[in-house]
Amino acid sequence: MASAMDKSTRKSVQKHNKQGSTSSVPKSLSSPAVKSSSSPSNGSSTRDTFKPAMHARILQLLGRTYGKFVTATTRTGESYHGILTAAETEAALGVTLALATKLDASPDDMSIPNLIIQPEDLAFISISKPDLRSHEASASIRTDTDISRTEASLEAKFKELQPWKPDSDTPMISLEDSSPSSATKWDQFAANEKLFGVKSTYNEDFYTTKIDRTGADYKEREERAAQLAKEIESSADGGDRHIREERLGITEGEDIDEEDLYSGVKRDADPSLQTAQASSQAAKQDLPQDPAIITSKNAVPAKKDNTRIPNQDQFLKFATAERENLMQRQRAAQANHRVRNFSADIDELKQFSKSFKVPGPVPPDMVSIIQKNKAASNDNTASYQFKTGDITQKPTVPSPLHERANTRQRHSPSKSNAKPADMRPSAMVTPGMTPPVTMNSPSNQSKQSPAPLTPRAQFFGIDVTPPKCDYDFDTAFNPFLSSEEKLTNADIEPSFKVAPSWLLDSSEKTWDEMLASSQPQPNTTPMFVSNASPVMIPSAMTSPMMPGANAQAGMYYAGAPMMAPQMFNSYMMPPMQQGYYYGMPAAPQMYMVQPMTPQMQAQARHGYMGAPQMMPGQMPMNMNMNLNVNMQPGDPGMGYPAQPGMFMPPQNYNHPYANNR
Amino acid sequence: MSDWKSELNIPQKDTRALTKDVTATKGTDFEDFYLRRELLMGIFEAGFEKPSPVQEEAIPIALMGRDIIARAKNGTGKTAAFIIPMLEKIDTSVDSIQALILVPTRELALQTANVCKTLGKHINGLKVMSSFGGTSLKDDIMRLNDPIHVIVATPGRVLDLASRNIADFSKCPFFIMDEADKLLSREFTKTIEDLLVFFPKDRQIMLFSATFPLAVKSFMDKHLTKPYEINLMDELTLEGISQFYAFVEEKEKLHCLNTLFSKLQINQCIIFCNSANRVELLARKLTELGFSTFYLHAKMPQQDRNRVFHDFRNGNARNLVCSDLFTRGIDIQAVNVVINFDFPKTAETYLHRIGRSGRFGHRGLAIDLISWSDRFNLYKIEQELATEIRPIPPQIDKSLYVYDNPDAIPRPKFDLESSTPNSFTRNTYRSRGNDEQANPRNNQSGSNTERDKTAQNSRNTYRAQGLQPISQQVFRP
Repeated sequence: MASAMDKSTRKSVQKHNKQGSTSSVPKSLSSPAVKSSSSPSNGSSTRDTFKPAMHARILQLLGRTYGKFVTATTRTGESYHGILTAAETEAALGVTLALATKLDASPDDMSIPNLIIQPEDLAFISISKPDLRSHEASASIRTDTDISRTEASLEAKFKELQPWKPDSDTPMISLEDSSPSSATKWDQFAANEKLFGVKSTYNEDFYTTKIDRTGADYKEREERAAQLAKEIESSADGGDRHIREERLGITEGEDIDEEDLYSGVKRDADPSLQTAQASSQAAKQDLPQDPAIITSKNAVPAKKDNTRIPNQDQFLKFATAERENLMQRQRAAQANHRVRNFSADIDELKQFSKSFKVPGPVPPDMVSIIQKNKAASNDNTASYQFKTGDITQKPTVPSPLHERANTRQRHSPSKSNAKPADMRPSAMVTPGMTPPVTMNSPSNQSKQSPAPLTPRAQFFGIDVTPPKCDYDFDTAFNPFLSSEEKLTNADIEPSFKVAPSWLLDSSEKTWDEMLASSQPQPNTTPMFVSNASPVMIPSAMTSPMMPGANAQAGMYYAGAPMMAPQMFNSYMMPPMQQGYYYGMPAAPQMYMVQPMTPQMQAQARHGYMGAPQMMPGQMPMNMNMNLNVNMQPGDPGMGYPAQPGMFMPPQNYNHPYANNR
Repeated sequence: MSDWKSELNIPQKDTRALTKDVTATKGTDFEDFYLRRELLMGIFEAGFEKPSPVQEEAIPIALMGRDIIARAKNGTGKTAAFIIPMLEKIDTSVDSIQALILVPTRELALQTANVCKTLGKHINGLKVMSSFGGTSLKDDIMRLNDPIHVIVATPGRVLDLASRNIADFSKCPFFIMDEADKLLSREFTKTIEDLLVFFPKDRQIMLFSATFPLAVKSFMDKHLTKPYEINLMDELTLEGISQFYAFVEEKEKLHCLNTLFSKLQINQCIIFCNSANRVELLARKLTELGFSTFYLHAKMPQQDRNRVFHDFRNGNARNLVCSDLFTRGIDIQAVNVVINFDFPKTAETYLHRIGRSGRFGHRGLAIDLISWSDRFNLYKIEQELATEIRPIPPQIDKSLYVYDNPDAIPRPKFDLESSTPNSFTRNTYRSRGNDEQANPRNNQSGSNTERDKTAQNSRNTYRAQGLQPISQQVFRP
């Protein structure tokens, strides 16, 4: 591992140096200076002995920290907080930080996309909570899907099955045909002997020891044995099915499933799997018998990816099941919406946007009206997505992390309809209330006290007083969510009934958890690309409500950077001007995203749009759900790349991270 | 080289080609393990030539006394991989149980007991007993009055025996689980852990399976000491097995099967159904259609099960319709076609089912009859196993599953030279021919003539069957 690390980091450092985009720590301070702590020692024999071991340790530490936030302090005493993306380890330690910000930076300061700190400039780096646990397959053998995944075949998804064509010359027979004889008991031995002359050659002595039936005490021994046997057979079996079966000799029960008993391995110890299996079975039962499902869904091959992730097998099972589930409901939803006149919707929306007033604090008397509207919006035919009433529903779109917490309590997946109970007024635009907390992962909360949440107020750049606005913009006005709403809330929720199980695996810290533990996250709400539904307003984005929608195409992650560490290898952080903005208030640097690579475009088309839990290399849950989507940035429904300056946070905006750094 | 080898009764060489599932070894020989002479004799007489990869890996480690968890593909020699080191360490001069082999099904217990007997044929006084429900518990108790060295058992029965101290495991150094993933499945865990209490602290635990759908980490952490992990699989499915599906309507299934039977050259065939009723119904239909067919499921009396298992293995009937009772571990060399009349739910079941053909690196065919409701399972399992199941072509290339010389296929064979050894075993066992089967000299039971006749009959049956016009299946031309 160490050498691999060396190589990759060296490469990225070089690559980096070539790019003009790289900033570097002030060269002025390049005093030859004292050696940094990790620099090679100059000669003492003890130190020489220690050197290789120490070097290996540092490599290991860096390897584990790769892609996580570190704080590096230079010799000038400046500290930078950023993501460790590369390290120079040959002679002395130098690091490259992505999205680096000065610790005492003013909120207006942009982060530095790539900050190279040369070994001679680096005083020390501090790594918080390095994860040094062994990730090797410990004393646990690889599971089946671990093995099949190494060959990584997410490809053969839903292929079209070729019907078998019966020969015309063979007579048509069926198992269910009741021949007159079938009512009677059939003796296979007699039948085979009669028809084919088959005689048995069985002798139990082939398989076990011979009982010694000689000896004077045979009778006595037999009696004793018989009594013992009787005792055992009549004793309580403790409800164990297998023990009972072994005592009674015959498997009891009418509808026993012999696969469960003798071959299959029970999975239900794992709740996420249980749910996945249950729902996949449910999906199967409900599914209309339509071959078109198969054929229409095999259009786009899934992205091949060799990245291993923890518990991938479980996750895949889960995802497969969920996909089936969602597909089915999408179809239903589409059927519901088929009759809708979309242009009317657009007009309505335009109209609405004109009349819509930028909500400052909502007057208390509005609350009741909003709730009324909400009630109306439950009626399918009535109001549309952007009505205020709907706003209250948005926060119920569960964040996976949030949802995971829920799942622990409620085991049975009550799917579908957003429950009125979830539409708490607290989620509405009401002054003085705390914003809905969806950002910290439960695990994180248990580990540390939740980071203070700075209310992310600010309504579309307009300075709203009070600055403490309780609205969770990301959730409430998230354009992606809105378009997803075409499927109704219920379409989204089940995807996160259970958090992907790999999230539960604490042995491997995900990018996300890492982020969550390092600071509050501005966005935890999953964002989906719209499905094929054209309802997403194209250029008629006149509504001031939705600046963020414009950034949709270029959006891969909002707020927190979403890249998996390994991605930094191939795409180092791009310079600012290449990125797109996503217009929600937060630190500007956090909105910088990458230019689209073909791979990413493909991901986007697959509905892979930066739901925070999904890292490149992991199969998004909604992958393959939007198989008909073949959109490019700029297509109707995809929005446009935001232009720099299209939306910027207000000057007095207080970045929530600013205090944390 | 001593000439002991030249005196061995080594069976006819199996000339079939082998896949690298069993040939990719380091080139070790059985002699390299420094096994005792009697054991080597048993190994070679069973027809084993060289260790398979899993044997090569597991035997030396097991001989060192380390706990082992091993996975290797279906039919690549796992059974012998734990039996050989076990037999090497058994001291027949000591009158105590020295090894327990746990298996999930009774038929597998029968089979494993026989492999033990075959490989230990020359080990003087070796007593191998199989014990499972459905047979007379009283008889098992009586057997345990006498010296027993190895018990092959299902967990329920042996726990009963151990907890009453009828079987004494307090000096038993070997605790072996075949099909360990199933045995460590939730419903068995308690039984297994209860059973382990009766074993000495320093017992050696060996876990073997071809599938581990779930990690068995908690059990390993709790009970195994520094287990040595053997994983010889970088893919799940066997190389030699060609998998096809036939997408049919439910009511077409029998018709499809009938068509397949008329087209395929079947040595022996196992057909899996998902319920006992369907098993019986299908067997009956097939018999009525003129195919000699047995059935096997869990609701039958155990005596019938034993008989079917034995007779089918012995080749007395060509076809067997069965439930998942027969899915794991069963080793019948002559089976070259497996048909999933009903598709299974789980990937491991599918893998084990199709692994009934293509034993020990040979070629075989697996055909799934897929109905509309099975299609999701098909995708799921394909994905989980990273394999491709192709539509069944109008003609299946014979080279995929037909052996040129069916005579060379190792056939089970029984002799009762003593109550102990029986040459009836797995992969490379070579039959010495049916005629010896009924050798009256070997029969101590006194019913010589009757057994002789029976064997003769079954042989004739077999041959006659091959000539019957109703079936184009060729077992013996």
